[in-house]
Order: sequence, then C-alpha cells, then structure tokens
Amino acid sequence: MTREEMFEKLTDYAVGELAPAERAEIERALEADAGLRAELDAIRETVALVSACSAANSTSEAERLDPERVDDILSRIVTTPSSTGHRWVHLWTLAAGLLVALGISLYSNIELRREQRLLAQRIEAARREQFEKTHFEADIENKPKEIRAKNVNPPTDLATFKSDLEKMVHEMSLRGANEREESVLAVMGTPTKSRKVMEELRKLRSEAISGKRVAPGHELTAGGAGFVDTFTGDLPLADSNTEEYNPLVDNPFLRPFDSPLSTFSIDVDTAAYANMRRFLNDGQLPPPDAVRLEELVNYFHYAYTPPAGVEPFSVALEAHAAPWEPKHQLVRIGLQGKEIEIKDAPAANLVFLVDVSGSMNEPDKLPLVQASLTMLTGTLREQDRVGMVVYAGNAGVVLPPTAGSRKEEIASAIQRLQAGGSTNGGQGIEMAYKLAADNFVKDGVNRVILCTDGDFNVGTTSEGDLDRLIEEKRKTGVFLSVLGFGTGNYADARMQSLADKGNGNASYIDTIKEAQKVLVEQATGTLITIAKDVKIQVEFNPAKVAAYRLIGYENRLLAAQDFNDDKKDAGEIGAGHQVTALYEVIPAGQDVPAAGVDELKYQKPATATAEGAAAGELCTVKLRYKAPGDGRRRGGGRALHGEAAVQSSRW
Amino acid sequence: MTDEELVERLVSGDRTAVASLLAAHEAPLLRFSSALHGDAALAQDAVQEAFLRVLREGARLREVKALFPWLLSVTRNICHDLRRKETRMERKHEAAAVLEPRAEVAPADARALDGELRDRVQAAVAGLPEKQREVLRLKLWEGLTYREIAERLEMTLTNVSYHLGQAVKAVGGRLREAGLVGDDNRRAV
Repeated sequence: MTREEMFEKLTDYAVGELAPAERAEIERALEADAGLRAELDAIRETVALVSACSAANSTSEAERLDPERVDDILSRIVTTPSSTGHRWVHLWTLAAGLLVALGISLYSNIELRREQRLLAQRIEAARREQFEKTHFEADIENKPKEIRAKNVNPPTDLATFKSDLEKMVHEMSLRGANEREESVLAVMGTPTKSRKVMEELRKLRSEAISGKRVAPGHELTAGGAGFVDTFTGDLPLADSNTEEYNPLVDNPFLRPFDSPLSTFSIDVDTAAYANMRRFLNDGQLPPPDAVRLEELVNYFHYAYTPPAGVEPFSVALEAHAAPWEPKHQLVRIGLQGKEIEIKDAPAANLVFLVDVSGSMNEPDKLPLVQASLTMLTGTLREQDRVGMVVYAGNAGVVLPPTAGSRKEEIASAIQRLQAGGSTNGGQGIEMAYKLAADNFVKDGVNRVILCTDGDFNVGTTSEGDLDRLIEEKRKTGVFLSVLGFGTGNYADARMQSLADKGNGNASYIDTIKEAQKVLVEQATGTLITIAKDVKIQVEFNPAKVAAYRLIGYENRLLAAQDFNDDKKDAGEIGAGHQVTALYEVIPAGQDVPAAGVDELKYQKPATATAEGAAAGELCTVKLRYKAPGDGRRRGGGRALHGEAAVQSSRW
Repeated sequence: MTDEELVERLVSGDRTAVASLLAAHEAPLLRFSSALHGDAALAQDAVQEAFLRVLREGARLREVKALFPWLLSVTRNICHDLRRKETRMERKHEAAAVLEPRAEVAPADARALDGELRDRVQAAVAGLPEKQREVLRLKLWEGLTYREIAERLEMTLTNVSYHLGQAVKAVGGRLREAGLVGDDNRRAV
C-alpha cells in the first residue's frame, strides 16, 4: 500500500472493516507515521461523535453496560456529608414512589426488569451506605486519591485514624498475627474493600511482627507525606527469623592463564525466586544468602530451540555487551531439555511424603500442600500409582499405592491430613522409600515427593545419615523431589541438599499459582529426568579473554577434574527444563579487577596457543551427562566465536 | 424526565436517578467510546469510569449546562487516558501501572447544549449527498457490516468504502467548522 492508499483506507480501519493483513500493515505504518496517526484520530473523533448522536432510537443489548459494571457503579455510591436523621424514610419513600412510577411508565418489559433489578441493588447499596456512615465517618477509599492529586498533608480525621491504628498494632504486638489483623478490622467496624487501607494495615502488621515499629505515633514512611503510593525508605532486611540458608560468596573474576577451565554442575531449581518474592511481598529484603542468582535466572522461560533427534537437550550459546558494563561481554549458555508430553510419559510410581508436624499447622503450609497435591493428582493417568506417607512424631502410610484414575480416593486421603506433633523426618523418608521400592516401575518414574517446611527437629537420624540414605536410594532408581512450604523456620539449605542428594529438584511453593506452575504446567519436568549428572565445563581462550566470572552457581562449582569423573554427582535435567548459565567476560586488553600472581620462578608463564589466537573464539563449552536409565556417559563440545556474538540478548 | 431533573434529584440525594441516567446515556456513550477506541472492552471500561465520575462530581453537576455533551467529553478524556496507559504498558511490559491523576474537564467546559449538539451532528449528516448519507447511517447508526450495506444498496464493497470515507470527511469538516471536533476544541466536544 502506498501512503495515499493508506489514508484512503483509514475510515475502513476505524470502523473495523479491514482484512487482517491490511490491518497489520496499517498498524505498522501508524507506529512510524505521525501524519497518518493524526488523520486517524480526526476520523475516529468524527465517527465517534456521529455514532453517539444517532437519530435512531433503537439500542441493542450490545450497547448496554455489563451488569457487573452497573453493580460496581451502584455499589460505589458514596455518602455526601449531610444530615441523615430522616434519610432512611426518605429513601424508602422514593424507592416506593419509583416502583409505582415504573408500573405505569412506557418502559418495555426488559427495561422494567432492568430498572427493578437496579432498584433492588440500589436499596442494598443504601443499606450498606447507611451502615458505613455510622461506623466509618470519612470515605477512606477516596481520600488517598485526593491527597495524591493535590499533594497536601492528610486531613486530621485520616491522621487520627492512622495513629489510632498504629497505637493499636503496637499494643497488640505480643499477640498472634492473625488475631491482630482481625482485631484491627473489628475496631474499624467492617472489613473494608479499600485496597489502600488494607495495604497500610498489612504494612503496619508486618512491621509490628518484625519488631521494627518501636513506638506509636511515628511517621509511617520516610517521606512523611502520609498515605503515599510508594515506599520511599529502605526496605528492612529480614533478620528476625530462624530460616536457614547456606552462605554464598560471589564468584570472583578469574584469569584464563591461571584458571583456564570453569566447571560446574547444572541446577534447575527455582525455589530461590519464589522464596525471594515471598520476602519482597512482605516488605522485607531477603537475606543475601537466600538469593541464588542462577535460580532467579532459571525461573523464567527462554525461547531456546528444542533439541532435534535423539539428543536429550539442545545447547544455545550467545554473547552480548553486559548491561551493567558495556565494555564487558555477557556469555549465555542455554540448555533446553526435550519436551515430553504427559501422555507419552512413562508410568509413574509416586509417593507423597507429607510433613504433618505441628509446625505445618499454618495457612501457607498444610492447606497449600493439600491443594498442591490435589492439583498434581489431577494430571495422573490410570497407569500411574500414588501412595502417601505422613510423618510427625511417628510415621505411617495413609494411602496405599492407588491408581491415578481413582482421583477421589486420593483426594479424600489428602483432605484428611491434619497437623500436630513433632517431626521425625528420617523415619518418614525411610518408609516412603520402602513404599516406592515395593511398587518399583521398571523404566518408569519412581519418585518420592517430600512436602515440608524442612524443620527436621526430632529423630535418631543425623543430617549425614539422612543424606547417605537418600544417596543410597537414588542408586536404586528412586529419586526425590522436595516441595518447600511456609515461612519463619523454612530450612532452605536442608531442602536444597536433600534434593541434590536425591537426584531431584527443590521448589518453593508460596502460592497456589506456583503450585500450578511446578506441578501441573511443568509436571513432566518435575517428574521425568531426561539426563543425569549434567556437568558443564567451559574453557576460556586467553587470546580473547582477560578474565571471566560465573554468575551464580556458587554452591555448584566443581573441580576441573570432576568433569571427567563419573562418580561425581551433579544436577539432573527434567523434560522441558531449561538451564541458563551466564558468564561476565572481560575481553583481552582491558583492565582486570582481580589481583594477579607474581611471576613463577620454575615455570614459564603460559601463553596462548597459536590455534587459540587464530581461532578468534571466546570459549568452548563442553557438556557431560548420563542417560537416566543406563548410566552411560555422553558428552559434546561447542565453541563460541567472539566475532559471532549476536545482539539479541534482551534485559 | 429530563437530564436536568435527574441531575437535580441525584444532587438532592436520590441515588435512583443514577439508574435512569445510565439507561438514558449508556448506549450512545458506548458507541462513542468504542468508535474512539476501536475496542469494545475498553469502551465498557471508559463508560463505567464516566458514570463513577458522575457520582464523584456530586453537587458540582448542577453547573453542567447539558449533561450529554459533558458525559461525551468526560468519556473522551477517559478514552485518551486509557489508550495512553495501554501504549505505555505495552512499551514497558508493566504488570501494573497506577492511573495518573488526570486533568479532568471542569463541568462548565462542555459548552455545547444537548439539543444543539445532536441537532448539529444530524444536520451535518442530513446535508450529505444521498448515497453517502445512507452508507453512513447504515454503518454508524444501524451497525451493519460493509457486506450487508452493499447488498441492501446494491453497490460494490469498494463503493461502500468510498462513500463512507467521503461522508466521514465531509461531516468531519462541518463539525470542525462548528468547533465540535478537532484538537483546538478538545474540551468542547
């Protein structure tokens, strides 16, 4: 289309009468062409005004506002400050009057029903309005908007309300959290729909819990502007809980001459992301050791090309200027596991191992476990088997292996779970493994799924014994997945180590949405391993690279010789799983922040090989892994050319 | 009951008047905003917001000389805000954007009188050559498709498209002269 033709077609476009192809072409042109946009706007204005001023009287149902929107409008009728004494009577009189008037009006039947419905809703709204007026003098919901727009201090009534709230929260700081929130609501008279007020309540509450709120009457936010949208101060660092994390130290920059090889185990876990989100949603910064960068990166989905042929995964290599230091390169290694449709998946023999100790008795623990397992049950087929073991002070089998098609039986066993008692994780794990082994499916998926907050506090089993047990069972072909739940004493380090030892993955389930993602959308990845002990070794070319550092994977580093040692355990990759590793690379010739070592006395300093200098390659990536069943090792290598660096890595 | 009476009832505390106002104006406002926006769901959003605006205005509604043109101008502003917000969100891939406080039209700014506005628009349409008038009427007021119009008026699709384009251009010119559309008169409708 020429530009003139586009102008001619703008009216057709505005009234929605263009074929999709032409439509797309015009939309592309509109983005770039301000003249075309202005003409379209003018046409739309005219068309809109003419449409609105129709001479025809007929209106179709499509030209009605959606009923729920009408409800919303009516329910949002707010009280204007006026005397209310006889207002009730006034409203009823009018309502009755209108009903009579409606009876004799010329409205069609549809109109009449509509008006009557509206009126019924209207009366309900009036009742609510009256109630709210008694208990809730100001229209709290509208106040923050006005304050934002005019940028003035909060009016006295709101300030009083706020300071009362703070006082109350402070006084109640010794009581339980749930009780506290309910009390706050009770004093306000009614649970309010106001998001703003609820946000403030939540903030006050989490501050009271974490001990940040020292005295009533303090300013709520650093800016001192009263109710504001953004939190201008620093978030408090989570410090008052007993959660366990393994210490993390960022990987340093290394020089290829000193350390030519970088070796690590893959990690498909994403628990750290959901866990970090939980902290941020509570208005706290997560403990630094809880932020495992590789898990944050791996949480998201990337458009890697799926593997072709028999290979269990494909490898994508890419380099791009680092967003935080454009002189440096960011090298991305992306692994994409082969997708397996759930219908093509081998039969599954699953044992749910559920922690029902007293610590699980929280809304975000056992109830979420129940919902998550019920969801997972929904994806099972007839050939699959599910058993369930619970443990608290003692352990027991609460569901013998049951066919995946008998969903109601499984679901009702899940619903019967109750929390109470102490935790003997060791006994439960042994029992679950025994159940799994008794029903072992050859060439199938044999997996124990542990649902816990990780608080193994009782039992004869020491940490080392438990790890050894899991490692031993792994060799028999029964793997372990860990689903972490809850806050406060979440034992992240324990969960990670258990899952690693058990050839499984650890996920943190903070919401029902996360359960949906891990257990339904990525069910095959969670359940079906397509390659075991996947190791990555990268050799950097000193002719092109002055220094490099691996981002994340701090607790996954391996010694260079471990790469070829098949007895060394490493991470597993599930069906459809993706693994992304990032290196920050300082190109040769640039300053390196890391300190070098003195020249050696007994050796010549290393130099780049002629091949390396000529090849122009940044690095070579090698992979080593075992097929899940036979344990045979396979491997392969690929080189990344610096010159071939592509510019598509997006942030 | 006229708009003025309904507004008076609303302001004096009779909220049932909102239901009547809604029934009287929702259809033209929905047509208006969906033509302006090209999106029926967003049109619903805009009209809902416009009526919430009516509730927020309260006693200030008395200053509005003609409710319908005022509602049109409010709806138009809301549509522009929504569209801006939409493009901004597409650009930033933002999950949630806060609706910025908008520069709202003061009630007195909608200058055209109700009867006057409709009369002028209808007069502009009436002044069109017959074929153009018919195509415009069937498309914008009756809501027929090009194909239906082509069958009814026995012309080709290209002809329908051509006549509608000409009609919109001519009516647009008349309305612009009258100060009812165009950038300079954004607030006057």
